[in-house]
Amino acid sequence: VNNPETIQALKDWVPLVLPEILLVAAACVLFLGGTFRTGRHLWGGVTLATLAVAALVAGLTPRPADPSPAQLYAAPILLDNLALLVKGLSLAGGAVLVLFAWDEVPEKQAAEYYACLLVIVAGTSLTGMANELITLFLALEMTSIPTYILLYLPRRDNAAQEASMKYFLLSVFSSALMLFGFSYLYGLGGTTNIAALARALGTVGSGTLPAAALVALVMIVAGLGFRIAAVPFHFYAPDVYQGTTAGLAALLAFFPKVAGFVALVRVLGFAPEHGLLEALMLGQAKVYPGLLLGSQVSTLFWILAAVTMTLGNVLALLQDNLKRLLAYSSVAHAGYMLIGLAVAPYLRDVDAPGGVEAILFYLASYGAMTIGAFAVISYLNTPQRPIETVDDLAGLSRSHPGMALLMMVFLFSLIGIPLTGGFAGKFLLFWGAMSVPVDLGDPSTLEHARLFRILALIGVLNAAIGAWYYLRIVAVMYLRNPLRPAEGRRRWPTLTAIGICAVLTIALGVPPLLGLLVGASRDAVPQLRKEG
Amino acid sequence: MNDYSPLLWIALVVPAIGAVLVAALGPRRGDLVRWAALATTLLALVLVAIFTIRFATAPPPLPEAPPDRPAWAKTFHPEMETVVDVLSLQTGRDHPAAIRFYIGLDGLNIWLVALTAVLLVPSVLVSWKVVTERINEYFAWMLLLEAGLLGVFLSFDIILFYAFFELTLVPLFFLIGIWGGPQRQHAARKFFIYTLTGSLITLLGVLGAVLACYTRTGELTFAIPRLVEIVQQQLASSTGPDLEFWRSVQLYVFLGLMAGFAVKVPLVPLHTWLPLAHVEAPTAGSVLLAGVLLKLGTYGFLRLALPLAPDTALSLGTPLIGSLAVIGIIYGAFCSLAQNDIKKLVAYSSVSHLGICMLGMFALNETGLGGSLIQMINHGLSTGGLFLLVGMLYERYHTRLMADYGGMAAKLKLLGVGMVFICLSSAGLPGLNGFWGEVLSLMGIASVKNLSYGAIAGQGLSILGVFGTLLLLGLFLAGRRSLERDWPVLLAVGVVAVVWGVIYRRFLDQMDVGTYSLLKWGLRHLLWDAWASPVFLLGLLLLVLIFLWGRRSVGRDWPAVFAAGVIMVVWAEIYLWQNVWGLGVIIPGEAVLCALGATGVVLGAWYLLTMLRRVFFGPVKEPRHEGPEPIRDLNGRELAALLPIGVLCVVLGVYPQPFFDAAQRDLKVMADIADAARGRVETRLEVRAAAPAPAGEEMR
Repeated sequence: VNNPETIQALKDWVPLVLPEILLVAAACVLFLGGTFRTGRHLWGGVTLATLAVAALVAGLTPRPADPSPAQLYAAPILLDNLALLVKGLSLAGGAVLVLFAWDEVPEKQAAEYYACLLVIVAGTSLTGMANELITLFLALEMTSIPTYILLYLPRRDNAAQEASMKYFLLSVFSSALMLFGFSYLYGLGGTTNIAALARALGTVGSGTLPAAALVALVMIVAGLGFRIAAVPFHFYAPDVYQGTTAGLAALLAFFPKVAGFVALVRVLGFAPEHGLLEALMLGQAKVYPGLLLGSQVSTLFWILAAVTMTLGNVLALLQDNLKRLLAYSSVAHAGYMLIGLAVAPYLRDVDAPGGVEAILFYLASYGAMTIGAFAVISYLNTPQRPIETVDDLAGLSRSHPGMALLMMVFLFSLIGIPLTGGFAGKFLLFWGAMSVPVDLGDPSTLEHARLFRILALIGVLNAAIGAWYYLRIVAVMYLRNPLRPAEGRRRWPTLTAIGICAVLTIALGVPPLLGLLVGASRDAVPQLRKEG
Repeated sequence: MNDYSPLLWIALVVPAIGAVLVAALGPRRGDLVRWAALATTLLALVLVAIFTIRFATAPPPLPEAPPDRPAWAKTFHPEMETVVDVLSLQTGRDHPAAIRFYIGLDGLNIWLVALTAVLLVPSVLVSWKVVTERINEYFAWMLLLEAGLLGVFLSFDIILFYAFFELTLVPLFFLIGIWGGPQRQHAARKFFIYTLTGSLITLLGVLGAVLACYTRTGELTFAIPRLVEIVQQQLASSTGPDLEFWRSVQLYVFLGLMAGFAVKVPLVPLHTWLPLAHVEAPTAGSVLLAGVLLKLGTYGFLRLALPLAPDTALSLGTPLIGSLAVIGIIYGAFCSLAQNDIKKLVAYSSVSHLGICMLGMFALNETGLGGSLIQMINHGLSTGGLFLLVGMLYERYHTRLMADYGGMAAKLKLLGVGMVFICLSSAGLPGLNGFWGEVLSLMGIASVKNLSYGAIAGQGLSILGVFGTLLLLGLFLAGRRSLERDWPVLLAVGVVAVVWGVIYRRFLDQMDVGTYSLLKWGLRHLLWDAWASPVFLLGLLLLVLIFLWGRRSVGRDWPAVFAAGVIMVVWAEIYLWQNVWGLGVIIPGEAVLCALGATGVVLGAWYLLTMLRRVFFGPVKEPRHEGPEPIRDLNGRELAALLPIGVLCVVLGVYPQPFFDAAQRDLKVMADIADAARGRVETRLEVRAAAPAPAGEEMR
């Protein structure tokens, strides 16, 4: 502790979280200001401005030099590439969701709504920077607690109350599980610093880990599995999505998923520091990144991925309610992303993105297409003509040709048709699962490779099942006649949000943005570059 | 040839831009939309024609091989390339981009590109009056479909190929789903999901092939020519565990790729989406679906599955796909026979015809591959033409049921002539295009490379199939005319058959068939040696008897015709067995495939001619039609749609030389790849025969 570098690291974190401080401060202003003035335009504008300023501050903050080991093992906050990517993702997602909610949120609650949203953005962004279990927990709670308020804010009917109660109880429960897992981690490693913990566990070598590691693993995965809506922790999703507004459903589909996956990546050591990687190369450490808590990590994620995507897709087939359908679809997409976590430990020697990189890419494209789909539903939803079931979209191509076209883009991206971000993301995930290397001399590697190829096969079959229900929506929109006439009222903020999502959905599937984001995802995950 | 390369991507972009423009014109300006769509397809056709003619008039030789690349001759060498980097998967600046926009032209895709451009024009023309609702969307989707199809054929990057392959689904989904028949929604979704499921598994096959090359050589590339080269190189030089690795990889790659392509072709257990989609699609949709989209499957096999997994293509592909193809040939033909709906009949005939295409392809020699390639084009032209004609008939009477029609040739003369002509082309009448595809495919599968001793019989058999067709034609004519005068008809048929034979022999002697000497050889043997051979005489005799029998049962002629086909085949089989047993060799599976395939040729003529007889000949029976204006024969627009197809059928049938000249180099490459695989598989079989290995090793 007396090491001056350590002390420096403990002190230096404040400038790194300036954007988040700004967001939370603005949220406080909004909470207070909301009691004096109402008005969605006023507070929406303030929120957008805050997000812009935060982005500006984040962009202007100089990148700190690569920390020395002593700094790394003390710092609670890291501003590495992963953190920057997550920050960008959450700020962009926040901005889109502000525009999305502009017309949906009641005039009187606008300030509170946006304040909560700002805190969630800050929490998600902080999750990406956490290098300390406590920070991580705090960041995750920053995304959860405002969600409870948000769920309760706009509606007071039974369904909304059920949704918020359900979410609240399960969320608290999952936080407790996670905290329990964290305490075991502390017991195992003797520190709450994630990098130090990884170092400690990584040099022990697998096989000598006590059973406590497994307990910690299961608890953490269960706790975070709730956030990413992985089966069997998905039960809340359909009811909550259905019981709330489209804007909140989109928020729930995006932020907790980003936070959950990033937290898993951080806490399970999928994004190791360079020092650990070098130690691995030199043989001083024996544990692959991501397998710190035992080789069962990969098996666990394999099973979770297979079950999550299969159950999510099959149950989505049975849905008629659009939000329920999209809820199960978000479960299924969590399953696809879990493929990345299952496979990541085995891609150490492969010089191609596939594991964590693919997840980061997928999170971005998933966010664009899912928020976009919810935004279209929200845009079409009016008190006179609520959009609840798939059939409510009948003949959309005649009544709202533009909306139908945009919705089609999102749905085709969710299916994974080429030239969309959805295809690029699925491509990278399956690519990762297929690219587990085989060492001809070692039969166990063959076994691993085969298992992951089977996972890829399960993945593509699921994508085909998924196509069925997405296509059903497309068919309803384009192949059927309108049930009721269209009513025209342009709502520009929502339209802008839809437009941004659509542009991103397509742009992520074609160069140059495709290449840029793949590159950024690669940079976010430290790896030893083999020359060649 | 690089000065022509911009034309390729311009031809690819023109329909896409046209689609956007047409969509932007709005649904109200109907005529403008139609003319804009027609202009776009014509412009694309002109562009395609320029580079096709440039390529076909001077087919490029194989480029000089660099000394360090021994597998140079066993890969594709596209001309007129355009390469643009898309995405680099590896880190570091020194790595070239892995995924690229890479298009080019070679002998395998040139005619399919041309076919696409040609068929789009009649598709637009035939939709001129039929489509009235959402007309701008309709033509926009159609033009997008053209762009997608051209993209698949031109792609030389495997991901680009896959992307276009999947993108073709979207326009057709809407074309069927919005402008189709009563069950259009179901048909469109079934089509989409079936094909998507298959092609997603194909994606895994694609990734597997790329990754196998990457892990073994450290070179990450998605360029098809380079991948094929690496695979051939690795297969040729690997030993021990490396070779085992490549064997097992090939199996998975082949199965993966096969999943998507087999659905698209379609091979038999996976064909159920096709009749539904065809029947429900609007006429232009059917034309493009049958004419071009099904070729995506066969082309995929040719471009990817064969060269990337040659050993498996030989050891598993020929028996498995060959059998499925033969089942498809016969099953499709019988399904066609059973139909009352003309469109459904044509739809099932696609299953049958593409079975012949697949059979020829998996002969894995130049003859068979050439036959397969020309069969793709033939099927595109003749089945496209059939769908056009059926659509025109439907447009007039709003029924497609054969029972509603009769003697339409007297009422609609031009349409009748067109239908007879296209049916004969489709049935493989010598002198028209269909003949080459069927004969070469069947000869390929029965060639000396696959079965040393059955070749003569096999080739005799395939010719018998053609003669069976001719005799059926006689039956058809006899059935039409008065019964008393059928002897002259039989005589006429015999004369026609002999004259055709002689003309073809003469023709072939003069024609430089190049590597198609097998064809020349086979025909000559048929007409000289086999002329005297017992099987031929007996077959002919039996056919005469059957014909006489058929005379007495004109109304119920199907058992006669069926017997004709079966007995011909049985006799040929006996002949084959004699030959083969005499030499102590077990009868090869390929001979059986060939024999059954030849039956399919006969059956093909049977259902088409039956349809002709029921709809166009006999006493006039006109369906009731509402509306004040009388039913008229083909108008200028419809003739303009049909004439190019007819002309191409004749040109390809009479003088197919340029077709083969352009494709020859790349067919030779494919045949070389297959020959190398043949060598490896035979060596393996010999090794295994010497030292029995544990069972199931081949499947690993």
